[in-house]
Amino acid sequence: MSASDASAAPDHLGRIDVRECSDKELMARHTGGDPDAFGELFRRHKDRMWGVALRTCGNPDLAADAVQDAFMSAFRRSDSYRGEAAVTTWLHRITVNACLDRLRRIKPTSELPEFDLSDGKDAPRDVDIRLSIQEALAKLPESQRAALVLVDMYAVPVAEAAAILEVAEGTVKSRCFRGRAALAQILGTRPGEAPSDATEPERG
Amino acid sequence: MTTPELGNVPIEDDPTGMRALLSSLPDPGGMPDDLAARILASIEREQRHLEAGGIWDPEPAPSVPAIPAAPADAAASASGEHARVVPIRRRPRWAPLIGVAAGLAVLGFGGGAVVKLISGGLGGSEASGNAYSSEAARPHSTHDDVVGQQPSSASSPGSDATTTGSEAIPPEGFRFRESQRSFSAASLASDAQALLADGLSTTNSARSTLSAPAAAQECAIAVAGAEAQILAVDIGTFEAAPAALIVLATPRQQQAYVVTPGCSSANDRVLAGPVTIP
Repeated sequence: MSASDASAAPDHLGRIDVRECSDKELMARHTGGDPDAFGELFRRHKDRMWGVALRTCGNPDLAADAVQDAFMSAFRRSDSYRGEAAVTTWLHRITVNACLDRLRRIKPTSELPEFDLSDGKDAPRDVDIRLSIQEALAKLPESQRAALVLVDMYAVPVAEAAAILEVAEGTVKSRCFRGRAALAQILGTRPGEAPSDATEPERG
Repeated sequence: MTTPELGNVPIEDDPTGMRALLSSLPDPGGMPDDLAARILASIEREQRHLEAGGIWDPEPAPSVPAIPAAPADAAASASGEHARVVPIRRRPRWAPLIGVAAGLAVLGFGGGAVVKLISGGLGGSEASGNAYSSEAARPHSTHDDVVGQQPSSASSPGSDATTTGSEAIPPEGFRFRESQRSFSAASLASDAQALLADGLSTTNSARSTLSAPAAAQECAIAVAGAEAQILAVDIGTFEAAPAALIVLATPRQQQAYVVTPGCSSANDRVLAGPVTIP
């Protein structure tokens, strides 16, 4: 059983070792005033959130700012966590939102169209990859990129990704499908080129 | 745009091959040591603030979503325990380590040494040593470090609760005035010198949140990095628009900027500067 699932028991002096607490217990202890609880949550999840932020932002400096925003928001606003979802879902959501906030700050016109390829099967399977994957990802609309980072890179289930991104499961799937197709097309084009058949932003 | 025909397609169905490609990418590695130290130091500062009896500004954080309460937590929510983060009275066990680690990071000892301290204190961290240039060292960055004692009145419109900020402790001798002078890039240095010489220790301004020392300090950090210390603020205009001249000290020099009157960590627009004050 992982630490995030375990339930801590007090020792013979009634003390709790936070390392034995579940994530939800740590959240409860943090809001209850345990000064060690959030540090343990941070230690437990910092690497994952860093990875998500780095891949979502596509820029180490931006990702660093975003992940700091995320953890500080989580520290301050722990009251917004009510315990229904997993703590990791909540942290992912905060981190992704922090990334999107940061991206929008530096790119206020980031109401980017989501690429819609008429037929994803037209995308080349064996592309001559001229751009790095990360560069190609950076060309995607943020919403598609976030979906691909969670679902394809981190194997987050669609339902959980939907909870993180606060959209319907079908929207997550469509973002993934279209993001993959766009990614394939980007990787199949010359550097600097973008897919030509952009459409209006998705709603839903 | 919606694609309802995709509703029944398994997510694993990927004729493009991109899912496999993405999933095969190597993990980017653990959080860089210096970033972990920076965040932990921020957490420590907030803990200290709470220990001192501070209560967070209840302004909602747009980046933090609310998740409905589970039955198990309903009682706690109803009793108000989740209404806000309650003051923490006990210093965390790892707090001294964080302080030392943050100090080392500032002194340039590098993240490697820092993480050894922190990882030991936190019971072991697998953080890797990815290179990372701390934002604190970057002037003009949108720095969001920890705000220690920022009063709610110092919050600028639109500032979000991700605002953090380094030691936002009002400096001794903070000078503030509302000269209503027209600042210019060319005269910035002389304006700053005059401000330092003549500025009054006045607060309460309807024209700018920067009359509050803590808000002015937050602005200084936002435009010049975590080590900046606000010295003086003068409210005036720049190119016929309301503006503030701020003078701050960094470990190396004194600098002057012209900023927007609502300058904060969430809105750190620099209109002119910096210029180094001789």
